[in-house]
Amino acid sequence: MLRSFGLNRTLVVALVFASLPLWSVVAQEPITDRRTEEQLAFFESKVLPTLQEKCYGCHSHATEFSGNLALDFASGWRVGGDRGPAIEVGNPDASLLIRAVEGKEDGLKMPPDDSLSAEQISWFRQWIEQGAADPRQTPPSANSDGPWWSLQPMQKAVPPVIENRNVLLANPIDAFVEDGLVKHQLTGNEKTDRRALLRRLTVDLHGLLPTMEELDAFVTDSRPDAYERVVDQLLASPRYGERWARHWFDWIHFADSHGFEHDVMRLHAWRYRDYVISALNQDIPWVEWVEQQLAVDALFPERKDLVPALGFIAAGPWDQSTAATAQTTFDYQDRDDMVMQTMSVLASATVHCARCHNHKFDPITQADYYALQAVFAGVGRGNVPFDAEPSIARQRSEAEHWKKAALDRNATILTNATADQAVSEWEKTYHQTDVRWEPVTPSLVIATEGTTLTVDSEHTVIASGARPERETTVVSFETPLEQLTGLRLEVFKHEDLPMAGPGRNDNGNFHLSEIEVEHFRNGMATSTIVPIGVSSADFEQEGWTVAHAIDGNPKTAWGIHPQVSKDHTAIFGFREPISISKGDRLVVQLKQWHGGFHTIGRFRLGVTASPLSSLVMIPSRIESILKIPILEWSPSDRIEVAAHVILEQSNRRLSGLPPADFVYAGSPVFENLPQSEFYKSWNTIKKVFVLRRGDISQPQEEAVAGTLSCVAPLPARFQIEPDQKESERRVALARWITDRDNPLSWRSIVNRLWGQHFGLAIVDTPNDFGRMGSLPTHPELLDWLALTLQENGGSLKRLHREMVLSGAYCRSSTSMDEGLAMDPENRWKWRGTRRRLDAEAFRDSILHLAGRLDLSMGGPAVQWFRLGPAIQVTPSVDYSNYDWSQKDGNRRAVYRFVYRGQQDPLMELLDFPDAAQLIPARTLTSSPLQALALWNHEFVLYACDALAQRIQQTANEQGRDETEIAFQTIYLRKPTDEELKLANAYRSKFSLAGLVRVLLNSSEFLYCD
Amino acid sequence: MRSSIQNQQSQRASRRDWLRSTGDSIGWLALTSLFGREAMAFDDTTAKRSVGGELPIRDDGGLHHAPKVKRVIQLFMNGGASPMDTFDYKPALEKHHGESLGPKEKPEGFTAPAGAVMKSPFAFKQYGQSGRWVSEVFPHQAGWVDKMSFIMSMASKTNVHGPGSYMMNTGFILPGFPCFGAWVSYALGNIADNLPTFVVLPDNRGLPYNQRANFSSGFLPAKHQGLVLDAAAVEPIPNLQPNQRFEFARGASDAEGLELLRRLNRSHLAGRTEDSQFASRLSAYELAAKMQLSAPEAFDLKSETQATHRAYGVDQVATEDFGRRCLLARRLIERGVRFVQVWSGPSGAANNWDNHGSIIGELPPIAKSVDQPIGALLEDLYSRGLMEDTLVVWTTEFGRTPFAQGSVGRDHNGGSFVSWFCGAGVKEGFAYGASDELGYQAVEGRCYCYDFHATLLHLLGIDHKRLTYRHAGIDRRLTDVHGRVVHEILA
Repeated sequence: MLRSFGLNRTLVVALVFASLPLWSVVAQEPITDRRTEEQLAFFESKVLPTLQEKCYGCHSHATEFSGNLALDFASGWRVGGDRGPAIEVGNPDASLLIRAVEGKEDGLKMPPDDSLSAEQISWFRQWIEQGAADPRQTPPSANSDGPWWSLQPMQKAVPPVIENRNVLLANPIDAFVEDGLVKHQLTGNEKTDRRALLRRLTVDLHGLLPTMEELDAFVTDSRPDAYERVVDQLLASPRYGERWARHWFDWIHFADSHGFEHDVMRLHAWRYRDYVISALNQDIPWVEWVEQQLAVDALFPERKDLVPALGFIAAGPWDQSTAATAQTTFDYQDRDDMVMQTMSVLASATVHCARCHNHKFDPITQADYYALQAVFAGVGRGNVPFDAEPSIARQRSEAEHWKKAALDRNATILTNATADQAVSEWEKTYHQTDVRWEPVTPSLVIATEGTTLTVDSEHTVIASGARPERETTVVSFETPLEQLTGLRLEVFKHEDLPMAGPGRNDNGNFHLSEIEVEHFRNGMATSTIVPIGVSSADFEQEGWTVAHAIDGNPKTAWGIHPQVSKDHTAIFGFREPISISKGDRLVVQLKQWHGGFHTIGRFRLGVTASPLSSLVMIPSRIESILKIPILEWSPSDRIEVAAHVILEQSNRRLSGLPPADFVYAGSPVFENLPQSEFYKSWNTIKKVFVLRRGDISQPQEEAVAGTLSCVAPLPARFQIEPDQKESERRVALARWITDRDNPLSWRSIVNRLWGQHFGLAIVDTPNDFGRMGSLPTHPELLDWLALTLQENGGSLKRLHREMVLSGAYCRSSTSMDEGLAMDPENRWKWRGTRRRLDAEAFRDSILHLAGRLDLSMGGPAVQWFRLGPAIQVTPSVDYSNYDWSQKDGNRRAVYRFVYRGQQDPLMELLDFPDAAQLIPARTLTSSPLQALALWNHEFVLYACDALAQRIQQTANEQGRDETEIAFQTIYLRKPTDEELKLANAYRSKFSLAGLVRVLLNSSEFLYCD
Repeated sequence: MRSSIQNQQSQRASRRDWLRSTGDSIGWLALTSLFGREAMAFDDTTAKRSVGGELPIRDDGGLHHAPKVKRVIQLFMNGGASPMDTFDYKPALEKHHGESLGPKEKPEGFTAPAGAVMKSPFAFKQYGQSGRWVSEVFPHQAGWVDKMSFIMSMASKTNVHGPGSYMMNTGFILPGFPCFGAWVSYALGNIADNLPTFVVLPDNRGLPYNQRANFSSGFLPAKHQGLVLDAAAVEPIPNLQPNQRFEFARGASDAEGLELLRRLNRSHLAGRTEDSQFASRLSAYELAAKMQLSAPEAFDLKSETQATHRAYGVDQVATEDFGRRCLLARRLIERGVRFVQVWSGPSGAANNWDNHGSIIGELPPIAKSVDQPIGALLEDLYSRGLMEDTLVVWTTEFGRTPFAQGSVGRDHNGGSFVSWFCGAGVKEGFAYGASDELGYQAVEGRCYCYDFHATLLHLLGIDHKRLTYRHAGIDRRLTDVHGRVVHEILA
């Protein structure tokens, strides 16, 4: 009986707490006859208090598991920590616990800063000797019943019926809130006045204070739905997206530079910022919001314009130095940031706490954590190409589709009507134009790695002498042609070369990694790069095509093996013709960087002015097919010819498109560290291992992509075959997050919205719904909101609307003794939220009131600083003496460039947070340095001047007193007589701008009641 | 001098009284619990909610026990100061010079594979009664070894600058965590209320690795971040005075404007007295006004004698910048700034302690730039009696390899480096721990930043395990889940 009870219990514990360290799921021994009354009493009276006093501080569920050792339940010491079992039952001398508390051995002394008395040690010894009876059979956290609240399914509660009709009941939210107030013997405040309400609402939804005119319109609107109308109007305005995007950026630690040692500017990060603003303004469904930001490339492949959504994955900091010198460390660290951000923000789970060991408090295993790392195993951060313009995006993806068909020799596509048509037209024209090539007479040839180069009378460049592994050959020349359209490279066999060449490798091959053409105008020391649009060659080694010589990737190259001992030719057509004046120079670089002596033995360059369309080399294998009458072509001949034609055409189409746009994002395709080979896109999925203690030198089993295992009924590991595209992993995670049965994610987002509207969220630890987080004040309301979001189609705007229309939102913030005594933090929403303007709302609002706020949207981040000399790749950033009157200085703050390591001092003093951390809610402080900034900062003084001018203008127009208008503009109310007197006295001495400065610093302006 | 410090302490007390008086109608407790999110900080000694974002400080100025140290100057050698060419004398390097004893594979974070063992190009001598070995690059510091406590066995978990600097400043290898100064500001607040609590004086050639993120308050309230000052600027504290081109902000507008503001704010406060954010806003402006008065004097180095300037090396090109900042550090500490960090060397590949290319070429100039100023600073602090409650610490983010990089440089090495402490609360003429024969790894009494920070906090009257802040579900500590007070070096 006892035994079966023990096993069942173990099983239950294992299922519920699959998260806890190893010792929590080790089969517990059944309670045996060791458990004598006497021994247990001894344990309770002597041993346990000592353990609690001396050991629990570092080895218990309530604190930490230092060394992975828990001493607050029996399995803890049985299994032990990193050094093995803590107790050998019956043998005190051999027990680690005794050796540690006696502290006689080097490096083994516990507690580190304290010691046990001789008596306490003797108790431990006696207890162990007598069998170490321990009644603590389950881990302390196993005391609760059922899963933690946040893991229980959401339940749609019926809003409670409230009998008292005298309370504010605007919508179902109020029923839940009122219920809470009643239970806590609180009375909600009355509705606030329209002035306070409009200030609160406009700052909340737009991050801007309302103007006098806006308040007038609201106050004089006597329609019963006046407030609703204002709410709808504000939600429909693009200012809403700008405001709420900024909150999102705080939550996900988005910024415009890397951070760390090399704080490189991310000049394309703004594309993601614009995506977020636009998605919020369009109110895309919450499910799509998550899907797009994690996997738009896989789920919306036709929407290339939405690629910037992937900026989410790359929002956080990036350590270039570690990437370059410690790549394994880096990979795990980089993915850790992605996992932490995704799971904290979208699921309010602190998965990252399970990196070194199972989560100490929540049922999250280390395996779960690495399963999530595996989700991101195929993406890196960098500039990701895309087309912002949908029509270009369409053309590019179409051309790429054809190109891929040609490269894949896709018979179906290459023989369809469109392809047939293209081929037959090509057949009519391909031989019609003759290209005239002008041989190049080099004025200078240089080999940077030591090859000897000579030029013969035929203009052939001959390599001899030293044979370096790699080579860069530079050829400089002038040309008599007035226009150039392309370049020809001929390589020649010669008996002096290995296998007769044309390469210098032992097998006669060479690899041309990249070819680059520069154009120096007459007398100029700087050049422009001549972009090459298309390339073709008479022969290409398999996997080493001539296109590789113009792909910007030094790791790929053109080669000619096995067709050695033969001459070959490649042609490079420029993207557009360039015009040449007398004295202009062209410099061609042939980068032969593959290594292993794959350098060119003999070559000659030629240039041409013939039409671009004619600059195609017909490969020899195509030439030989063309010699056969068409009717005799084999099916594979047809495919070969079609592939050639289609490839050439699609390359031409691609090169005719404008260059791609870029977004700094997380993607399988990206560019980073442009000068190095360390961080280019990789095409394989990196292997992720479960790391013992999070240590890269202790990899355990390979991780399988997946997520939390504690969220019933959703699967913990994704069913993805190893050969499936990596994006399937991100898709699976997005699907898991957006699953209607996921109890974490839906609660997470509605809780965030609530917190932003009401000051304190229902769960006031928005990134942590676990045991270390807070409990929800209104659990039924939280579920009601989450399920309402599901039912309304995932519309955040409709949810905002619901919240701000509630009576709870509209209450006055007046202090009431009863409320302050019972609920000083207003957790139960008995009063309206009082809040200071945050950094952005402060500066945007002043400019807005002054009529200076530039409301143009989007585009590259505006830099409210001057860049100074860089140290390595990190420029110095100077925020002083910025001219605030220029256009960019008056843009909304959401468009500014956020420099992670070199923050804007004014914004920082106004509590703009450290962008290296996920910030679920800002802390607003006041300090003397902040006061000095508000009082004297250049921007504030500039804005005072601007606002004073505006007030003057209004006063003139209306023929009214400037002081009065100043109060009305800034406070949205008339001054009292006393205020008028004081203000006028000051104004007369220090001008209207001086008065404005005082008012802008005042609490009444800085806070919304 | 001592009496002026006491004055500052009593000013601190009066500020608290003043805060209390502004919130009297509802009662102090209600007031404090309303201080926004800052009130979420707990101190488990009392399990009471913190007061207005400030932790309850004991009468003796400590948080958990009586402090030995009230103020700290940290000298940070940016780039990874080489131990075996400065304070960690290794005769074995001479014996094994030229031998390939290093790791065969490039370790993570090394910028290049390890070269052969390289002896120090500098001569070492023993100094003082304690007989500490110091190389010829530090003749001035060598004169103070009998006052110093060395940790010869510091170690880092990384060989990369960014994470290494984060580690020595914040205890974590990732960005976003509060630095030591921010924790101290959060724990103890300021000594004098007319000056900032935590001041950073970077090299005038540029910010260190990680730029300002080394001085961040991380998830602590923003007011705890380090105030980064340009010591050479005319007005080092930003926004102290308005730009004079704004006529309306000139002259008496300042005092009269602040008075009008105070009146407006006080009448706004009526009916909101329970709300501490308004009270602390009022106090912020009062303190700002005080700072306007006191700061210029504090930063005015002209009032120091010629002899002092000479002693600090402010009159010589090589030592001018670091000397000026050491002198300024002394003035600030003297006037009640709690923590001043003085940096040597900007980020990047030159002018700092990151001597990859040539130890013999790159180390002497940067060593010279700090050595005389440090000697002068110690002398000055002792002679003014400030060392009774001031501690000076010398640190870097990691050490360098005993193996050559290229032919005469050294690569990054988190395995071992040196730090020294001088002043209040620590033993004199003492050294703790040791690195191995070559100086590659700390082998005896290895100390990470956790132990280093735990010791500093202990000296300041703080138990590092009980100084916590709840963030993202974790009670965060400066020392993470580690840290041992290095009692061995304590006096």
